[in-house]
Amino acid sequence: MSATTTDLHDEMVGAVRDLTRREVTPCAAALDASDRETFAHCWASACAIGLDRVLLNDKLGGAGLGPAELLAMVEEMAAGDAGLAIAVLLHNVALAALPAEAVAAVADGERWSVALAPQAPPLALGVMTGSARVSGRIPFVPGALGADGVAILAPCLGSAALGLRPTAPGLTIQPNPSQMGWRAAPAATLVLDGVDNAVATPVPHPVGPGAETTRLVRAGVAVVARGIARRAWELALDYAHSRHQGGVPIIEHGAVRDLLAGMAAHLEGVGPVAMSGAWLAGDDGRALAAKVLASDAAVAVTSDAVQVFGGAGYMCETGVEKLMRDAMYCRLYPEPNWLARDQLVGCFERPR
Amino acid sequence: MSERGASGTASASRSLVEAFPRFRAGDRSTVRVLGDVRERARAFAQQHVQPLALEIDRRAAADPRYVDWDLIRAGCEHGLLSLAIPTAASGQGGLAREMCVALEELCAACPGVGNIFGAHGLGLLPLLATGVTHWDGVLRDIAVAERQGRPVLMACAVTEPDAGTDVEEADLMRRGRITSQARPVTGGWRLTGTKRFISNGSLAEWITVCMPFDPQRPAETWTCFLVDARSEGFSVGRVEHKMGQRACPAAELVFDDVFVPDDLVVGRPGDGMPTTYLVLAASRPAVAAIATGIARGAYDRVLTWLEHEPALLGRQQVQLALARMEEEIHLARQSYLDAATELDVMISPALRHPLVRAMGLVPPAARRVPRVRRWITSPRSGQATVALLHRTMTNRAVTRSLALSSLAKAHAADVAMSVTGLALELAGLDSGDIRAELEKLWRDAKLTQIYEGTNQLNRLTVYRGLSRGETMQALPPSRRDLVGRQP
Ligand SMILES: Cc1cc2nc3c(=O)[nH]c(=O)nc-3n(C[C@H](O)[C@H](O)[C@H](O)COP(=O)(O)OP(=O)(O)OC[C@H]3O[C@@H](n4cnc5c(N)ncnc54)[C@H](O)[C@@H]3O)c2cc1C
Repeated sequence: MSATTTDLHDEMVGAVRDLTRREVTPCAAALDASDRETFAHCWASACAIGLDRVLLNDKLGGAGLGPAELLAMVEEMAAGDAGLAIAVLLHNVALAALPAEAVAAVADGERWSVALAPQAPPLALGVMTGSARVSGRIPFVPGALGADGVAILAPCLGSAALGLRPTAPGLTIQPNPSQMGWRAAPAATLVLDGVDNAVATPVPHPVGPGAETTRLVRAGVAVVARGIARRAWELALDYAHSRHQGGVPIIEHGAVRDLLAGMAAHLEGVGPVAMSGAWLAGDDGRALAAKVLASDAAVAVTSDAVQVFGGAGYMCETGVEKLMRDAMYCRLYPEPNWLARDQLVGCFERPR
Repeated sequence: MSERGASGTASASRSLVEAFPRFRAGDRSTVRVLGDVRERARAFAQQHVQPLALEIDRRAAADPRYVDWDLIRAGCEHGLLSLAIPTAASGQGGLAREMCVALEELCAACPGVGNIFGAHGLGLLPLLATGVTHWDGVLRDIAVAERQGRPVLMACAVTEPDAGTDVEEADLMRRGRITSQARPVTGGWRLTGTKRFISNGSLAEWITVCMPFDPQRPAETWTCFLVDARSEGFSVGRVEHKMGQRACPAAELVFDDVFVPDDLVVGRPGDGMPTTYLVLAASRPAVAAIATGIARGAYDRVLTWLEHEPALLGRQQVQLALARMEEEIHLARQSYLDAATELDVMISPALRHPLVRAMGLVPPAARRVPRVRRWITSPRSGQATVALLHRTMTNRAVTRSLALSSLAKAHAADVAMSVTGLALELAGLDSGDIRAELEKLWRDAKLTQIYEGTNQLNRLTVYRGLSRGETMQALPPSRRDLVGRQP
């Protein structure tokens, strides 16, 4: 990274941290209640500091930063609200995956999401000259509800991403029933019934569609998990100093110290994995490992944070139980961890 | 391919002896009685509770005061409110084992609804632990009202804003900050203070509440009172928005100089801590059963869903996960039954004692004759109850029972968390309607690691009672040890 890029990186990460402290964290409960006005306000603030175009080059109005910078910013935002952080992640991934001319048509302040089509059952593709008719179903696309557009990635589309507006003929967006995590990014199931779209040419941007996009999404989920866990840790540590039981602050009880120590160790452990460059290494295995490790750690850390709070942690008011719900979704998206582990092994070749 | 056995589907269809193989060698009448309770609870759970569970959860999320009284009334038809009330007080005479098998069934359908009945049982426990005094008052009223289809609910209020873990053990209480206080006045007591997170607190007509009468010696003067929720000075404060088990509201209860007559003191003044130990010995297996039910509910649902996903079911990772769930649920279930059995066996000699049996033979009407009633609620009768406890059980036996109960509670709660988490992971986000159900069970499960003492506190109790073989002062002091304790 050149000196100027590093400066820009630090500046933007700092700006996201400030924004999160100032505007997002105080609104976490409203975001968790899927309050659209609060979301719109936070989204506008995120756009104002350029968080909606992190990966785009300056010709497309972006900051021209790379995935590592995006991930660092998403982690900061996740410490405030994971749903908003996921929306930021998927929006940036969507724009990076779309062809330049489609991105150029995306107005300021719009929000897009990314739909990763499942391997099975696959989307069906009928190719005619210069266009494709796509059919099938893509379950649980976070943030698709209320989005201005969705970039669809599927093996059948090869390196092309299909950019669809909600009004696209043949596209139905079905809201998902109540979701307990990432509630600021309400998910939907996309049903495509012969959606017609020009097949895009391969995208010149380093992120590009297909496997690379999926890798970035997984690495993004890993950093979201770490952001959630960091917040849980801060809240639990603070509470352990202020709550007294047995005549002393509870941090003096071995049982509580043990919980906190476990949390700290988890955070330390996933730090390098989530941050490093699960993405930069350009390695599917590392992104999968990062997502599995970080999300398992986040579930453990947030559950222990609730435990440190005792009964108060179970109450919505303290905001800790929300972190637990958000963390669980990191374990389930873009695929449940047991499936991710299965794919992880496939990333390694037999040693010679 | 091998054929699937009759019990190869969801564990909900298994018989009592399949769930508890030890009963194959057990006595038939226990199997019959427990099997009957289980069937009744299961019928209610499956017909009434399960279909409404998600809807109630949704409504209570929007308004934590929301309660489905129709459902509780339906529970009356299945005798769920009088299950643990002695037969001499018109109840069914169930003990810890009956409560546990019923709670597993209810909580496999909806832990929040299950906890309404569980918290009611918790409210009753101090009355049961202190002898015959309340047979002809509240206990009989609950049983009679239930038969008329009118639910009378109870709650038990111990936790305070500044003292949660601290009210669960005498040593901690001495160092803690208890702010409630009971003041002796002519003819009774005046209670002041705030209790928080009280399950059923906003629904109960009667509340068993503990407070000290000397804040300098809270553990020695901790006393249990029976409070009528219509009493002047009593009010319900905030009802909490919580993560799960939403069907059962948790409320703050405010006591502002509430008068309680002497005959509604539960046990002797100052016996609150030993009463708490006995109550916890009975309520922790119940929480273990709630947790087992939650785990089983998640397991049943994911197994049923997987029946339609043969490709997934064919994968070893999925098979191993299911086997792991089966294993954990089985062990959790055995541990709650062990703890409940230990307790039931420990208290049985007291229940079978000739004095208690004789009292049971006296017609209720005769027990309500003022002179008899005065004797039943007199300090002498209280002393007699304590003497009876000392004759039929020991401090060591209660300590052991409490430790075994704490073991079951902490273990089953962890099982509930891991099984619901695994089930959710197997099903994933694209599992349609069951996703919401599994998410709910996972949210519900977390509470079992917290209430009736956090798992950490429960494990410290296991250490003291089993690893170190310590004997707690778990029985109310006998008469000669009482010197200097009067208010
Ligand atoms: C939904 C709900 C329903 C409830 N229902 C009831 C009810 O019906 N009746 C009732 O009386 N109570 C009820 N409770 C209260 C419950 O029993 C307490 O929440 C529980 O005992 C923990 O107390 P606390 O919340 O004050 O946590 P705290 O005691 O503040 O504990 C905070 C943390 O410190 C740890 N800790 C505290 N002291 C020690 C120590 N000495 N050694 C080691 N670690 C320690 C705890 O393990 C925990 O991790 C309910 C709670 C909830 C959440």
